Amino acid sequence: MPISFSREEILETIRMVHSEQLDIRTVTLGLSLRDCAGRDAAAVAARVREKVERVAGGLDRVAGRLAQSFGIPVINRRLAVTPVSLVLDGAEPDAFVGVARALDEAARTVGADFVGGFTALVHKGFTAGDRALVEAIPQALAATERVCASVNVASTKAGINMDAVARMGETVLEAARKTADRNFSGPARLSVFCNAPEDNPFMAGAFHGVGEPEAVLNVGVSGPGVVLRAVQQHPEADLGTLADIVKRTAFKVTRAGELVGREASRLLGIPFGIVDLSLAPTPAVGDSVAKILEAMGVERCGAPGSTAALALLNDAVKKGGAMASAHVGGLSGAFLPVSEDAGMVEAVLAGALSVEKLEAMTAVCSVGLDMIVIPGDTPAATIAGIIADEAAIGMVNDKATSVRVIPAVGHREGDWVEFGGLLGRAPVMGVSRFAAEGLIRRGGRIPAPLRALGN
Amino acid sequence: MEDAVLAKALEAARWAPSWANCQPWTFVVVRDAALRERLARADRSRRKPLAAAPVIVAVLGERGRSGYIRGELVTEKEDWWYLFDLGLAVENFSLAAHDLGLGSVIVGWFSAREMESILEVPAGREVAVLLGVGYPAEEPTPPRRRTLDELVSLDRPGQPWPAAAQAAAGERAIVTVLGPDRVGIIAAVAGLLSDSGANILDISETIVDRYLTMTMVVDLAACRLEFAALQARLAEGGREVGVQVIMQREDVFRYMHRI
Repeated sequence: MPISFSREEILETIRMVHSEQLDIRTVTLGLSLRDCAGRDAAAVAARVREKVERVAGGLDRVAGRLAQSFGIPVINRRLAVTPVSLVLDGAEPDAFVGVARALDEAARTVGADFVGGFTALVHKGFTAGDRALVEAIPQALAATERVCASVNVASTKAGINMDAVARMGETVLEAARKTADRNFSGPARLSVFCNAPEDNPFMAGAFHGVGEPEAVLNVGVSGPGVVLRAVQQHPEADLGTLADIVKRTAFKVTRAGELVGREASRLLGIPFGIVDLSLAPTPAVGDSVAKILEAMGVERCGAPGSTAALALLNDAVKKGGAMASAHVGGLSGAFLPVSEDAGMVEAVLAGALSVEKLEAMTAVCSVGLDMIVIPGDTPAATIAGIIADEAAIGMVNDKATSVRVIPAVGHREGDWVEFGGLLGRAPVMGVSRFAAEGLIRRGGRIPAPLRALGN
Repeated sequence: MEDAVLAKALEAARWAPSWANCQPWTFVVVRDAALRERLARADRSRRKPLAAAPVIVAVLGERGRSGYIRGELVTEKEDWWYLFDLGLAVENFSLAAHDLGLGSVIVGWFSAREMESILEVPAGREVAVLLGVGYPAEEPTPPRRRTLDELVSLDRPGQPWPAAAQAAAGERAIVTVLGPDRVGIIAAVAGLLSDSGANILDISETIVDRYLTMTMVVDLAACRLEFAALQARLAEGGREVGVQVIMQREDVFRYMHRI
């Protein structure tokens, strides 16, 4: 049989992996823990650990084998479980910390980098269990290495729960204090969401939603480096043509994710859920979303025009990816995690990129304010104000937004904070010195927006 | 090896299906060292797999029940159906043993008479197979199996079943060789492939400025090595002649470059 691929095609794939950092960012196994629920916290923790270890036992081996045989790295293996607030409702905060420890140990045993699902969904209000879980978050994050927490405080249908927003401002700060000696790993594993998707494979916001099956495999692809190279190769292309080039590139990247997802699903006997088409940068040189915007023509990421360029990029990635996969879901868009993107860090240092500009950019792309280091003396109410603003963008635009800010306790604007690994390093960015205190203190709920008369 | 573990594997054997549920099997767990040695010596197979096993399970069969209905032999397979039943029980045992972390080997090349006299088997029963059981010292690469498309057809023998062909397509890989050209590179890579039983289906090669780019389609259906092992051997062989050799499953390219 003849070779059914041209040499150019074969070399393109090899080049994408070897010099443009194409990889499958994560294979995330979503797992229901509803059958582990109960009143006895110790028994719940034991059941959780047993189930995770049983169902996810083959994940690491299969992911490794596929990466090797396809020649495309699979960077992370992750777990997403039923929001723990649903599994242990009614318990005390200490009991929630016990379940977090069980998840942490199970994740270590099965070789998963992170386990998401220490989660409460409180966009309309707290149950007793939600309240206890949120109270337990700082301690749960301090007591574990791999557990990720998320809280959904707002949705387009419910509005914004400002009591929860206020609470999360304090929680983020407390998580930072408790892990100040461990590179602030607490707030780096805590996302505050509006419209949190139920099938997102990316951390820290991954959880296994209530509409999901018993177990499911979701795949997150990544390829800023590949898109960057494609954009760089067409310096003269007009923006319509450029969008088309990005679409084609996103198609190929997503196909790789689709293939790995299908094969992993077959080998593990767990149904394949979705491919998340996110452009997720890494600290590696060239694997940067900021650099793509700069290759498109803005001098520095954050300069005027950045939001427009990002809107084009985000949409083109979705259009190309949507055709490549049977089921697209999760967050699906470009990420702007400052510490994880060397180009963003450069832009911050150059004075081109501020928290406010990032906020504007999140209106047209995925997720939200991500991995942004702010001064350690930032008041809780200011953090809550940032969360509220981001939630408002998500609520009004009917999209997922999240806030993952790291108040670097003991550090001031301009200091550096190291997170290590894929989380990278970042300078402390300034935040507005004007307070949100009065607004946050009012509490209550911001009503859901009108969905008609849309202007 | 604990009896409790062995009991679990035997429990699985007990639940095997059999002709009209006649269960024509019994088992002898042989732990006695002297007995095991005599059994191992009477094994005529060349590799003597029983010699090292800490436990031998003798599987005894009983004729005259399997294949019969109300005392009358009704199957065309004559009086041999009990062996099929024993096969099911042995397979259950082997799978359960594997699941428990044990290894087992099925030995049938011996004189049943001789084995029966060693074990003092009463008349009416015969030794069908001996199973060597123990914790495996190594995890060998599974020998190649014939592919689904060689085995399975649709509706009638010989008519291809598309799903099987699809499964076999996963057995193809693309090998890419990149590096400065010199004499002997193609021979070296092709030699490694043929030594392992991988079949080269096509080669395309270009040299620009003495830089070699070669792509090959290889069929791994008859390859004796695991994918990863062949990959490692090719990479190593490539390093020796100064080139990079990459092997990837063909699906990657189909997915990325074909709609």
